[in-house]
Amino acid sequence: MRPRSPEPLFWTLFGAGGMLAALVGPALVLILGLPFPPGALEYATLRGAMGHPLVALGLGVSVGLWLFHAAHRILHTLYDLGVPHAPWLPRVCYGGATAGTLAALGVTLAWVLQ
Amino acid sequence: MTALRTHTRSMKGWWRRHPAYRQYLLREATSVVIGLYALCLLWGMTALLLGPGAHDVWRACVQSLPGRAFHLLALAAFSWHAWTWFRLLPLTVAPLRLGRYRITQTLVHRAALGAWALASAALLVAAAGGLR
Repeated sequence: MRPRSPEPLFWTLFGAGGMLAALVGPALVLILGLPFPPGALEYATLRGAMGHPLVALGLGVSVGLWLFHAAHRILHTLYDLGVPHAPWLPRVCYGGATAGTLAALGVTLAWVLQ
Repeated sequence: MTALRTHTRSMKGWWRRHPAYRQYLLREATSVVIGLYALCLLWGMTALLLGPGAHDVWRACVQSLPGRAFHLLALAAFSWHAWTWFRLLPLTVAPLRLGRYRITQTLVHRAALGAWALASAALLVAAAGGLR
């Protein structure tokens, strides 16, 4: 019997990340990029916002899912562009996303426990 | 066994053959910016946790000229991603029925755009009110 493919898991993470990026991404970039309101990037303001567990949790989940979204799409676009299917390529993509997600979860946990 | 000698067209440079192929690549390319933006957020969350000094470095980078240009690029990438994502969404969900009524693809698309508007408005209102 062939071992089960992890592809459905990666596709689900890609889909979840894509949906989250589409729903909140543009507004989040506007808030941090403008910034909106003008004092949004002040230390005290951002610390206050991150004090809400939902804000910290939302950002942590976004970072992790966006990394998996990017890893999946970049990998399959590289295949489409003619890059040969080498075993190390998915390992680098999904491994990088996993490392970033673990870091994001650690930082989020530190925020929530504060 | 005789080997088949049919002509197969090379896939080399396929994206040059049709504008739709280039649009497809542009859509896929948004994921690179989205991944980089996730790293920028992770850096910001970590810096804020470490203290005012680390946060100042992050903020200075975000508000520098390259940082602003990156945010402009990110806004374009996220928006194009959202627009194309919701346009494709009806094709990825199974046909839906609500009692006797069939939920059409147009309705799914419009509902998704509405949810996008609602989520964006909620986020902006929360930022305007909660972060003051």
